[in-house]
Amino acid sequence: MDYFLGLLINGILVGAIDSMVALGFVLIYKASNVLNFAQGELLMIGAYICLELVFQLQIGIIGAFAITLIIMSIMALLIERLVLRRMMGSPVMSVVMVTIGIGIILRSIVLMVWGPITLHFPTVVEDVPIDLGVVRVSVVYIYSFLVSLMFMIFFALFFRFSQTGLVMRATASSQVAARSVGVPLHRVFALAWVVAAVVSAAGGVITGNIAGLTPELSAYGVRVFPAVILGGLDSIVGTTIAGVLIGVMEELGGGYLRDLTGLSGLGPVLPFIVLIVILWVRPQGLMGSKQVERL
Amino acid sequence: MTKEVTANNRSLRVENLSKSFGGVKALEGVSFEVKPGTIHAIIGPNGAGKTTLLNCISGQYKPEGSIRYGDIELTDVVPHKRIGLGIARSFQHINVFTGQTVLENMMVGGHHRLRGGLLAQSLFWGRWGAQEEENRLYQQALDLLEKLGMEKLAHLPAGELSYGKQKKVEIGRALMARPQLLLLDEPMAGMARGEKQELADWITLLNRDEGLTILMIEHDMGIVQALAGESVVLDFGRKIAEGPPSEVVNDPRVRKAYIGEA
Repeated sequence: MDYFLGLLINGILVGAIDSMVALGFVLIYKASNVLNFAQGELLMIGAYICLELVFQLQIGIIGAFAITLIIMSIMALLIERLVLRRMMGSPVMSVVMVTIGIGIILRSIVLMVWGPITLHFPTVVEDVPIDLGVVRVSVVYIYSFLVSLMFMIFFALFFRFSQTGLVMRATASSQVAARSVGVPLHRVFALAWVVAAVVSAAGGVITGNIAGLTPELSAYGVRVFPAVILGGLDSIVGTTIAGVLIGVMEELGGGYLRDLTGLSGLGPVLPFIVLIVILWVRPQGLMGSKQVERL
Repeated sequence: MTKEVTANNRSLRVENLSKSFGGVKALEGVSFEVKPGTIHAIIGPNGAGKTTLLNCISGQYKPEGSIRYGDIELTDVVPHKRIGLGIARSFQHINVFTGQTVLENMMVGGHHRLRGGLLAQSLFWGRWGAQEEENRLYQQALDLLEKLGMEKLAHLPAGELSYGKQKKVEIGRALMARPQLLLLDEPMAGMARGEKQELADWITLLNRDEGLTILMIEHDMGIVQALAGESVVLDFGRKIAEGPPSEVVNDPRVRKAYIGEA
C-alpha cells in the first residue's frame, strides 16, 4: 500500500509539470488551430536560456527565470509574427511541418551553442528528501510541483476573470464570431504563443533543475501528447487533469511493470498505450468537444 | 477609423459585387443600395448567394467589386475593424460562444468599445487596468439582457439554451457593439411562431427607436412583408429583382425562381 501511495504521489508531482506544458500546446491549438510540434523545443531552449543567464549574469535562479520568461515571450511573438502569421489559411499539414521545422532549428541552435553534453543548474535547493509519511520525496519535486501549480492557477484566473482571457476563450470557441465582434485574431494568436512559450520555459527550467539539461529535453513535447489527447485536445481543464493522470500512470506503470517483468523504463511507454486505447474508444478525450462537420 | 459612432446617415452601396469559389460563381455583378434607417431584406431560393453576400459585407470573404459604407470602401477594411465602423452581424448557423455564459457572450460583443489593446486589458487591476470600463460594459450587458427578457439566464452557459434563445444571445452580442448597420442571417429560422413574432417586434423597435439600419436574410415572406420596406432578390448569384417586398413577390422572375412558375 505504501508502495502504491508513494508511486501515486510521485506521479502527481511529475504530472503537474506535464499538465503545465500541455496547457501551452492546447492553448495554441484552441486559439489558432495550430498543432505546435515545437512545444518540446520551446521548453528545451527556455531551460538553456535560463541556464546561460544564471552563469553569465550571476543573478540567481529566480531573476534568471524572470528574464527567461521575457526572452521567451519575445521569441514567441517573433515566431508567430514572422512564420505562423504567414501560414494562416494554409492546410493543417503544412502548418504542422512548419512547426516541426521550427523545432529542428531550435534543437540545432542548442547543439551548436551548448553541445550535446548534459549541463546542470547550480544547486538551488539542497536535495534533501522530505518525509510525507508514506514516501520520502525529494524537495526539488515539491518545489517543482508548487511552481507548476502556481502557473496553472495564475492562468486559470487570467482566463476566467480578465477581459483578455474572456476574448481569448471566445476566439477559441468561434474565430468567425469573435472576429465579427471586432476581436483582432492575430493578436489573440500572438498572445496564445506567448503564454505557451512561458509555460514551456517554466516546464523546461523545472525539469532542467531536476534532471539536468540535454537537447533530449525536447522530447518532452512528445511526452505531453498522451495528456493532450486524453484531455481532449481542445479542453484546458481536461488537459490539466489528464496531465496529472498520465504522470500517475507513468509512475504506477513504471513501478509495477518493473517488478513484474524485471525491465525498467517501461513507465513512459504506458501513457502511449493508453493513448492508443483512447483513440480507439473515445477520440474526443475526457472533456474535448466532438468534431462536427457542418456545411 | 474612430471608435466614435456618428449619427446614422451612412448608406451601404454594393456595386458590381462578384465572388467565386473555384469555378462556382456565388455572386455575379450584384449592385444595390441600403438606405440608412431602413429594414432591407435579401431574399432568394437556397444557394442563391444570400449568405455569401452578407459574408462579403462583414468581411469573412474578399469579393471583387465595391462595397461602400458612407464614404468608406469596406473591402479595404480588415474584418475585425468593420465593427468599429458600426457594422455587426448574426450568423445563419448559431455561432454563440458555447462554453461561455450568456453575460460573457454579451461582454465579448462590446469588446471593441474598450480602450487599449489586449495587453492593457489583461491587467484587470491597477492604473493601466481596464477595471472601470469593464464594470461599465458589465452593466450595459446586464441592461441589454433585461431588455431581452433574459436577465435570469445571464450566468448560464450559452450553449445550453434553446435554439431560439441562442439566436437572441447572438443578436444581443451584436447589439452590444452599438452598431448602426445590423446584418442578420435568417434570424428566425427554426424558431417557434411565438418566438418569431417576438423577435420581429423587437427588430421593428430597434429600427424605429434607435434608427438602426437592418439588412436581413429571411425566408418567411410573411415576416419579410411585415418588416422590410425594401428588398433585393437573388437567384444563382445574380440580382433578379428589387423593390418593396409586396411588389417583388408578384414579379414573374421571382415567382419563377421560387416555384418554377413560368
